[in-house]
Amino acid sequence: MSGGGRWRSLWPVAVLLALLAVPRLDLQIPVIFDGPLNSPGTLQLLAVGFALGIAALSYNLLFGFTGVLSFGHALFFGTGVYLPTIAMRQWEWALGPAIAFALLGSLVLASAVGVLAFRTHGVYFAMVTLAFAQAGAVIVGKNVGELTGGEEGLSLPFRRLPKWMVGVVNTDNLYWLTLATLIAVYLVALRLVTSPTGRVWLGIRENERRVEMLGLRPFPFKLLAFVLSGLLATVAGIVYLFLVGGATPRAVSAEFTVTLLLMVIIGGSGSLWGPVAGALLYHYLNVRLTVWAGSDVVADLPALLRQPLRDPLFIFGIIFVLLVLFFPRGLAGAFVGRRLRPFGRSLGGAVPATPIGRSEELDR
Amino acid sequence: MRRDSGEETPVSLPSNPASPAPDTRPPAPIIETRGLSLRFGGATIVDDVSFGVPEGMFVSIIGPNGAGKTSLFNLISGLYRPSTGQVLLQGRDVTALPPFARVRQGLGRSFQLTTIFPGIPTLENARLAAQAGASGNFAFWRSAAANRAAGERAAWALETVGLRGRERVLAGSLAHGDKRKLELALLICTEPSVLLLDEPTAGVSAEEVPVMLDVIRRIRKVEGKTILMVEHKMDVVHDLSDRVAVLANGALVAYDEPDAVMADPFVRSAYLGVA
Ligand SMILES: Nc1ncnc2c1ncn2[C@@H]1O[C@H](COP(=O)(O)OP(=O)(O)OP(=O)(O)O)[C@@H](O)[C@H]1O
Ligand SMILES: [Mg+2]
Repeated sequence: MSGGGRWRSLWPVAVLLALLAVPRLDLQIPVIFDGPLNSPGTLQLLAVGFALGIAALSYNLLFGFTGVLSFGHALFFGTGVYLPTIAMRQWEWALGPAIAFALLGSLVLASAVGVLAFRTHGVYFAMVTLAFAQAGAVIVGKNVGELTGGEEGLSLPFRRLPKWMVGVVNTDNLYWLTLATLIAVYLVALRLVTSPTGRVWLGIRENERRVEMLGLRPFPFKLLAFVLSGLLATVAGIVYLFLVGGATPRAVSAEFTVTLLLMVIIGGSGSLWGPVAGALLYHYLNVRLTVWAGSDVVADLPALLRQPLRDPLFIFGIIFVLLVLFFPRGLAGAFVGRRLRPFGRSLGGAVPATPIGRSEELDR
Repeated sequence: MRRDSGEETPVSLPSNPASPAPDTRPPAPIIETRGLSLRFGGATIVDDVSFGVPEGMFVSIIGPNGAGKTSLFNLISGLYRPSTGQVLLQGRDVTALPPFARVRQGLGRSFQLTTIFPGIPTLENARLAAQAGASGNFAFWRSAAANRAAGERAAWALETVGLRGRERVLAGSLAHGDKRKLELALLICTEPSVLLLDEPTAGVSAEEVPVMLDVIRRIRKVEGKTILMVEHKMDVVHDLSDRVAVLANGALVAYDEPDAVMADPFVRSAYLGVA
């Protein structure tokens, strides 16, 4: 136990050091990555994965740690993608104010949506958040006020960014920026879930009625979870924007929220790092399966196999079903196994997740 | 006996809680209902129930299945809104207050169907309950573990109900009897002055029942709490109660000392199944 315990507490540090070193590692990993580790392509692949990881982590504060299913999360990610772009391109703001504008906008938007949506519960709540997200998607897609660029989107005015953030040669800087943001958000989330408020969130997830009968009004706690997770999603949107260099309507689509939900489920909703791993895996497969589907290996297969395998979504579907079948508690659940670590000590891991639909008064 | 002449509530009350009560009068009820009724559609679930419980008293509520005992608790704790009537807690009308606000004023309740946090460890269940009773629940920048007082209170509550050694077990994987004990522990963590216990021994195995009763006795003796308990086991009721209230079809048909209630021929034949 003691040796294993030491290793358990050391491995996150080891993984972190390795990730920090990636831009300086001129290593070929055949099959997994096309270029060497420090090639811009590989760094970009990983960094976008980190940005999506932040988004998934933020979503999981709400879904996994408070037991609230929202279909409106893309709205706040989209806020992080669109508001700075609009502020810098259309109004010629500097980078700093543009970022502050996005965070403030997200705060206001999440508070408003939360106050209205939390008048309902469960599926109805999910539907109300979906309605708001759709409204956001329509506003963006229809190019309301000639601000958003409509279906084409809007590219970031690079001259408004510091030089170290611009260009393929600086991919390593963006990689580090994104990784540092991920670490910061992770630490913030860790504090949140181990705080008194985080305990109340878990209580709400487990049994809202009992929380109420302990003398606490659930609403402000749920609203706080909603606003904070929305704010962190906006942070994810901002770093994502820097990586992809522009805003496209996909960032505010309900489809993106569902993608986040998949990442969380793949990674495991009971842990903080699980969804990050889920996001990395999802993004990696999404990119690589497209490459793989178009490769010669697939082209040489008999038609019966070739046609479905040509479609990355088909392969992804199979992988997803297998993951859910064999790791019902996600990657994090598989990693931690059946043994549950004591509560406060783990790095935010191993708070067992509650499957959707499980409700109060389950044992009679 | 059952609503004797002139006296609506057998334990009478000075109407103004602010005025110092003269020594001759019984103490003001800490909890009181006035003409409390609940109707769903055409059915009357709780029918014009008026009674008061003085501080420190142990009152058992008995009555056949479906008599409205749980519904009465739901009205008192605020989970249901009454069709008519009032609920008073420490002399104040709390009828319009939501459940959490009543808990803040000193009310605590356990449920007939165990209502705990199944997916988190037993100690964390109790710690959350202890933390909820204090302030600082919105301090999302602080560490929950740093709240030593909550930790100590949680440990004390688990010790009191006899769950020591089970701290790290997920509450959902506890044995049924232990879940019922945990429910009691959550309750005492919030330091209520009035406890509503809805069949605390329901589904508890025969050898575990005395343990549960012992816990309840200790809460009462050591802490001097006011307790209202729904219970079917008549020996338990007789043993613990200062007063027994009998509900039938939602109405309060008797409210008196245990011996008097059990001697009443009407209660004996209709509700205790004794010829
Ligand atoms: N929310 C509700 N809607 C409709 N009817 C209800 C509701 N709650 C309770 N009832 C009805 O009210 C009556 C009293 O129920 P209640 O649960 O209060 O009885 P009880 O005395 O606690 O019974 P038991 O001993 O079985 O626990 C029952 O007939 C029940 O069906
Ligand atoms: Mg009942």
